[in-house]
Amino acid sequence: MKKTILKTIVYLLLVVGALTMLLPFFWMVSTSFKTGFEALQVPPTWLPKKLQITNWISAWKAAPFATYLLNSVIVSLMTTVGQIITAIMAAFAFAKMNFHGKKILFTILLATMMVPGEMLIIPNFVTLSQFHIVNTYGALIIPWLASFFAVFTLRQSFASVPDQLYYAAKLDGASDWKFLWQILVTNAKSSITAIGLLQIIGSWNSFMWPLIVTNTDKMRTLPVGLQAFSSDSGVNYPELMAASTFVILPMVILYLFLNKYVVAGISGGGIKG
Amino acid sequence: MMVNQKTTWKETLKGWLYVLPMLIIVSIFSLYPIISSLAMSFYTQYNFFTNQVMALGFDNFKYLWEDPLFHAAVSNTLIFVIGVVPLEIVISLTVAVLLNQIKVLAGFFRTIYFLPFVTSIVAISMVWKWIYNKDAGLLNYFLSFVGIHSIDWLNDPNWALPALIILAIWKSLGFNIMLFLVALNNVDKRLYSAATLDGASVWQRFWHITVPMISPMTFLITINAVIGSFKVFDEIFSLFGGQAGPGNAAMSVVFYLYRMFYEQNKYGIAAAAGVVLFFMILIVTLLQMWFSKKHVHY
Amino acid sequence: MEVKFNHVTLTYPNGIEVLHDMDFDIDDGQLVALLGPSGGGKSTTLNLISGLLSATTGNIYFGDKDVTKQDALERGVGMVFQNYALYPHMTVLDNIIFPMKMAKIDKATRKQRALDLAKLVRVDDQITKKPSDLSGGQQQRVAIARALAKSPNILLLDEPLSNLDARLRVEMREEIRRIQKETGVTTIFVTHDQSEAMHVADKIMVLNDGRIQQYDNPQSLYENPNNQFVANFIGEPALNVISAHQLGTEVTQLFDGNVATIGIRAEALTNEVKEPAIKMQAVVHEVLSFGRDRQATISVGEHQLIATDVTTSALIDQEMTLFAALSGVYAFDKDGQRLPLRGERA
Repeated sequence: MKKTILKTIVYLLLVVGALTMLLPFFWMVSTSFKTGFEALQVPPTWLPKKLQITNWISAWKAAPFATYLLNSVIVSLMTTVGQIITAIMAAFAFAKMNFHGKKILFTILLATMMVPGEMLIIPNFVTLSQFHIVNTYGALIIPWLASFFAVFTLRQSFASVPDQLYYAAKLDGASDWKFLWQILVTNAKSSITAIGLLQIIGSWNSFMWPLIVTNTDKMRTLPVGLQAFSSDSGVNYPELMAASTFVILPMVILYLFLNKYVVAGISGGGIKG
Repeated sequence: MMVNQKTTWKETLKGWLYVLPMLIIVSIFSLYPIISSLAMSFYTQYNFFTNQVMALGFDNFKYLWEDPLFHAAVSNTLIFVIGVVPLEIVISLTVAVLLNQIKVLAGFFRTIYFLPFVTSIVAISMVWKWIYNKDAGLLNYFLSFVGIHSIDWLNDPNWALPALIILAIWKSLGFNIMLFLVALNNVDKRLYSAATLDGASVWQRFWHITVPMISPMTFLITINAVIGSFKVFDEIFSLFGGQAGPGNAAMSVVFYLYRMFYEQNKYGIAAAAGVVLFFMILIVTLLQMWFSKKHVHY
Repeated sequence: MEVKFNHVTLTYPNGIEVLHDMDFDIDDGQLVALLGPSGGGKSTTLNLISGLLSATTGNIYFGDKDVTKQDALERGVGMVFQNYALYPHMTVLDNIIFPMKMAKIDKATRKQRALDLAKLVRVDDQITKKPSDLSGGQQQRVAIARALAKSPNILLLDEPLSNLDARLRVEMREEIRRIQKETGVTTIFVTHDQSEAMHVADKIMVLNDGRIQQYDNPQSLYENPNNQFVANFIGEPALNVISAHQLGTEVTQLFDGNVATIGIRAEALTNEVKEPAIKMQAVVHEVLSFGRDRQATISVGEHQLIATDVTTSALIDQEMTLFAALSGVYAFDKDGQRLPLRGERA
C-alpha cells in the first residue's frame, strides 16, 4: 500500500517535470497555428481555435529559409563527415600504433580541450580573412573538419578492442589501413554513429561561429537566419514560432529516430567541455 | 610489426600520417589561435587588415580593469553561474533518482527530458521570449493565478538575469539527467541490499551510498556545467534580440568579447577578455579539483 | 616445417633478459607443447616463433631459412589467440575466408577452401553464424580453421584450452590432435596444464625462469626428469620430496653425487614388499578411496607424503615399513639437478 502511494508520487512528479519540459515545444507549435489576434488574447487559448497554416507559409516566404536549410544541411553533413574521417584515422594511430612523439602530442592536444573555444574566435576570424574565405562554405566548414574531442572519444572505443584482434589481422595479411576500415570501424560502428550524431546536432545548432563568419543571407545557417528574421520582422509571434519550428523540427525527428545512439554517445563518450 | 622492437622511423612516419589530417586542422584552428589570442591580448595598436602590430603592452588589460561594462560582464557571469549550476544539479539529480525508481515509461520520460538538448538554443530562446512576454506571455499568465502581476521579464533590468537563468536550467537539465542516470546505474545494487539489512532508511541509503558512489560523476557534471555557464552567449543574444539585455543587464564576458571584437573592432581588448575568461575558468576548475580531492570518492 | 632456435635470447627494453640461450629443434609435422608456470617464458617463446616478438640475439630458422628478421606475416605462421580474436562482425565463413581474401586468392577457390576447412574442424553447420552465437569450443574451432586458411608453415596456439570448461577441454584437446594429424602441419601450443600437454603432445618443452628445463617426449619426461622442477611439475599428485638426511646414507649412497633431496612418485610408494626399492619407516594416517583411485596420507619424520598405491590393509597411525620402487625414486643435488644411480652414470 505504502509502496503504491510512493510509486504514484514518483510518477506524478515525473509527469509534472515532463510537462514543464514539453510546454515550450507545445506552446511554440500551438502559437504557430494561431492568428496574430488570437495569439495575443488574454487569457491565452491552449489550442488554436482554427488550425491555419498561413503563418508557416508566410514565415517560409518572409526570409530565405530554404537557403538557410540547405546551408545548415551542407555544413552539418560536411563537418560531421570530415570530423569522423579525421577522428577515425587519428584515434587509430593513438590507440593501436607506436610512433615517436605520440605521448607528447596526445598530451598537448588534451590540454587544448581546456581552452574555451570562444577565445579562439578572434584569431580564427583573422586567419580566415587572410585566406579570403569569410562568408563562404569554407569558413563554415573547414575549421570544424577535425575535433580532438571526437578523436579522444573514439580512441577510447578503439582501445577497448583487444590488441590480439589487431595481431590476428596482421597475421592474416591485413595492412593497417585495411584493419582500420574493414575491422575496427565496423566493430566501432555504434560509437562512430553516436559521435556523428552528436556532431550533427552540435553543428546544426551552432550559432556564434556562423553568426560571425557570415554576413549575407546566401550563407546563413538556420539559427543565424532565424535570429536575423526575428530582428527584421519585428514581433509577429505566430510567424516567429513557425520559423522556430523549422529550425527545431529536423533535429527532434533525427533524435526520436536515433534516440538510442544519442543516449549511448552521451553515456559512453563523457562530456564535451 | 614486432611488438618489442624499438619504434622505427617508418612506423613513426606512418603514425604521423594517420594523425596528420586532424593535426593540420587542429593546429591552424586550435593550437595556433591559442598562442595567437594570448599574443593579441597584448596588441595595443593593431591593423587587422594587414595583420600588422604597431604597439604592445598591458593597455588592453588595463582597459578591462577600468571598464565598468566589463565589471558588469564579470559579475553577471558569476551571478549566472551561481544561479544556474547548483539548481541545475539538484534538479537533474532529483529527476534522475526518480527516473531510476521506475521501469514502465522510463525510456519515454527520458526521451522527453532530453529533448531540449537537441534543440537549437536560438530557436527555443525565441519561444521563451514569447513565454516571457509581458502582456500575452504564458509565464505571467501562470503567475497571475498566484497573484503576481505582469513582470516585464525581458525589459526590466532586474528580471533579465533571472529570465536567462530559468531558460538555461531548462535547457541543460536533460544532458545532466542522462549522465546522472549512467552513474546511478553503475552503483552496485548489492550495496543497497546490504544497507537495507543494516537497517538504513531510504533517506540514509541515499546519503550514505548513492551520494558518495556517484560523486565522481557529480564532480564531472559540475565542472562541465560551470565551464558551460561561464561561456553563456547564444541565449542572451537571441533572448534579447542581439542585445545584452535591457541596459546591458545581461552582459556576459563572452558577449563583451563579441561586442568588442565584432561590433567595435577592438581586437586587442576582445582578446584580453578571452584571456581573462580562460583564467577565470582555469581558476574555478582548479578550485573544484582541490575541493574534489576531499569530497569525491573514486 | 622444421623450427630451429640457435642460441636465442630475449631482453626487454628495460634491460631484463627474459629468455636465456634457447637452443632447440622442433621436427617437421610434430605437435609440441610449451609447458610451464606463468612467467616461465612459454608465451614469450611462442611469440618469438610467430614473429610478434623479435629475438635480441641468436637466430631462428624455419627449415633452412633464417627468419630471425622476418615479421609474423612474412614467416607465414597461423596463430590461434587465447581469446580466439575472431572478427566479431563477420560470419564464421567470412572469418575463415579473410586471410585468403587478404592474400588475393580468387573468390571461388577461397570459398571452397574455407568450406573444406570448416568441415575439417567440424563447424560446417555453423558457417552463417556470427562468433558471438557460438560456444567457446566452436569459436576455438573457427579460430583454428582461420589460422589454417593460409596454409601456414607452422600453426601456433596460445593457451588454446584455458578458456573452456573442463569437459570441452578434454574434447578439444583430442580435436587439436586429430586436426594436427590430419593436416600434418607442425603445431606448437602453449599450456600451463601438464596433463593437457602429456595427453596431446608428441614432445613437450618444459620452461621455467626463461630456460628450457627439459625437451622430451611425455613418457621420458615423466620417467626420467632432468631436474627437480620437471619432476615436480609433471605428474599428479605432485612428487613427494624428502630431505636426504631423513632417509640416511643407506639411501643416499645409492646415488652418485651429493644428494640434497629425494623425490618419490606417489604411485611408487607402497606397503607391499617390492624390489628394487628403498625402505623407510613411516606412519600412515589415512587411506581414502575415490572410485578406483586411492590416496593415502603418510608422514615420514617431519615430511608429509601422498601415496596412491598403499592398500587399505595398511595399519593406521602405527609406525610401519613402506617401500618405494627405485624406478620412482629420484635424487637431486642442492641445485635441484638430478643425480644418477651409482654405476649407471648418465
